[in-house]
Amino acid sequence: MYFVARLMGKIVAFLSPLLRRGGGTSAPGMVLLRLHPKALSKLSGSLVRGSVLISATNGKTTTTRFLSEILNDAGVACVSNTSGANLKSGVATALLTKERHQDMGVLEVDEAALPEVVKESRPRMLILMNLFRDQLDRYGELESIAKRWREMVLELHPDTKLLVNADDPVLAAIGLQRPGSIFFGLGDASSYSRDELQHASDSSNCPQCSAPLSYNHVTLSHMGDWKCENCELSRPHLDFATSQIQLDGINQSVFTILDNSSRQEISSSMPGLHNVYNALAAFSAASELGIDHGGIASSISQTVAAFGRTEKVAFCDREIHILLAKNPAGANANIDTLLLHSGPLHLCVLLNDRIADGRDVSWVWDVDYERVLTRVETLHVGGERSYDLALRFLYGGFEKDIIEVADSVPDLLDSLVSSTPKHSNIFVLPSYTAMLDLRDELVRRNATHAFWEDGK
Amino acid sequence: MTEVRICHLYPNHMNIYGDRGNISVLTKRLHWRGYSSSVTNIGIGDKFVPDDFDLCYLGGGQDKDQNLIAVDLAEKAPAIRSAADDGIAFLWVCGGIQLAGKRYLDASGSELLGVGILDLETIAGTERLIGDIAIRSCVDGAEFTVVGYENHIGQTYLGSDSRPLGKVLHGFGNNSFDQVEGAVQQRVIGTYLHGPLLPKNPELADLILTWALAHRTSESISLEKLDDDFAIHAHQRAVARAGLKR
Repeated sequence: MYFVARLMGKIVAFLSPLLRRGGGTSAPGMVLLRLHPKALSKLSGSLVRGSVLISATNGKTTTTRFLSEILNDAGVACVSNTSGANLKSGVATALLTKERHQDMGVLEVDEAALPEVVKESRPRMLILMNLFRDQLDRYGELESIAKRWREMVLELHPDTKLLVNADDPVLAAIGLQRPGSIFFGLGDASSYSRDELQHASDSSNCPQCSAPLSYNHVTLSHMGDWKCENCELSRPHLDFATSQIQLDGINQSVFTILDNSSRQEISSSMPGLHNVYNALAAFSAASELGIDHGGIASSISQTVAAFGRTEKVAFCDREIHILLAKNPAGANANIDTLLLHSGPLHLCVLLNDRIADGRDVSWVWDVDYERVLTRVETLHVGGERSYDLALRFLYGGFEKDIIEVADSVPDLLDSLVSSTPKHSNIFVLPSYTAMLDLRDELVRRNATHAFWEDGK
Repeated sequence: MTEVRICHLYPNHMNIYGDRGNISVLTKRLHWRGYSSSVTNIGIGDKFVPDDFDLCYLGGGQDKDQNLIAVDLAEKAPAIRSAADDGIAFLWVCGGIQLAGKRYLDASGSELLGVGILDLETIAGTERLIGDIAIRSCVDGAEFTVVGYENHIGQTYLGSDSRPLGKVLHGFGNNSFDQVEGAVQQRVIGTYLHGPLLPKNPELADLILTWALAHRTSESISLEKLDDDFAIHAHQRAVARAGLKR
């Protein structure tokens, strides 16, 4: 029976790129799971070197990309869901359509789907990176995902190694439940940290006693070097810690990673503090998997952004930077990043409200767009909820005359070109499907490749 | 210059989804018309003095946060009731409408007392009511459509002293049966339309501001029209999405 189900899945995998957009990144797995609900554990069992699962609200795709590049460079052939299809069906599709020589999985998994995928695939390593408020209509409250993760970790197979971002208080507490957890975090981030929590901070109360936490430094949202004055729970000892972080504008970051016995210089072309977290998570995982640090550093320096994640696209003598922004924490991290750019800011924000974006777009009011108020030269808004964005900026103090509302993606691209000088850097912050729509149009105009060809 | 004094209750706990957008709308619409405003954050342990305010806003929170503020809110309840009786304008959103009511019965059947400025009670349901919502409101002789998003598990039932904020045109509303949404009593408005509902609903924003100004000046003030071009577009798009005729 499994054989038949597998064959059907493969047939769908063969056909779907011919049929529609998306390149068949989920459909084959969906068919397979429908015919054989236990297929995921069978597929996972076929990976000789086991799998690494990566989950987070933000940074899954980029971290997965870093880690699979590192492993592939080190001669470990990995299969990965590079196109970001990260529900159970997407994971199954990646494993079903893997090439014969690929004997290890590096897979990103949706936060809500994670407990089930972990249970069925029994990974050799699990990386928990962060939890922020995101799509409450789909995921429910952050606390309900945290609760499910807590239960998942308690039931984790003893052979699974757990890596946790210690800077996220909720996740650190989950990691501390289990002996042997490996913790990573930003050791010395004082030059890029802020004095107070951002508006959209979710977990700034102690996960153990609910008292307000105090911070030596705050990095992004509720993450940082935290401690509770009341019950004395604090950020656990960092097995892997960054130091001497230098963010060089939108071009690159340079930093050092320290573990208990050594230090390694890292440089990465992916800008911003959030990408330092992503590189650190991948470094920690690769180090625990026995890859030598010099090799990891070299792979990280050569890894380029995944589609839509600080991706640069040359278009009509301009550089379009696409910075996916699908929730407040992610959007704020992107705003931090574009403030590192010293030139004039040409900003474009796109918002759709399809299921993959979250039907509820209230979250744009939690993003600190006001921080770019004095820096913005041109401002475009677009997507299905363009006027919600227009209102967001209007009430955020932006002049009505500067807010350009685009009715379609083609109009938007034309207007971006006509309103900016040649050689401009244009920063686009799109929601998920708005990013896909924008890339479709850029593909149509021969500026880039289709997303399912990404990483190939 | 007349100053409208706004109290933002528990902004650190009850802010689940863009609640601060409503505060921006209130202060900016006053500013654009030449009024000034002040916003005071009142959190756990802070004293709520009714005489200090003309308008009081409370947003929605996660269950965890709602539990954190519950004890403190009970201590503030008498002062909040006297503010409502005194004619202060209230907008309590999402979790706020439940806390404004008389009581909340959770899934285990245990009772949480509300402030009691709206005659309603809420019983935990079994399924979340989630999605776009549009309602037709008629308050103080003004009739208008309000659009937004709801996401709640509580089923709310009105008593005889409060009227619904509107009739449901699309979506769920207070509960799965009555086809009405929200509650109005004195100058208190409670609604499940969560987060930033005021940007897209300028008529509702202006109604609340009219009430706050009436409390401040003891006069009835009619507000001048503003350029609501963006709001009208966003509102119309929401109405169209809900499959309604304009």
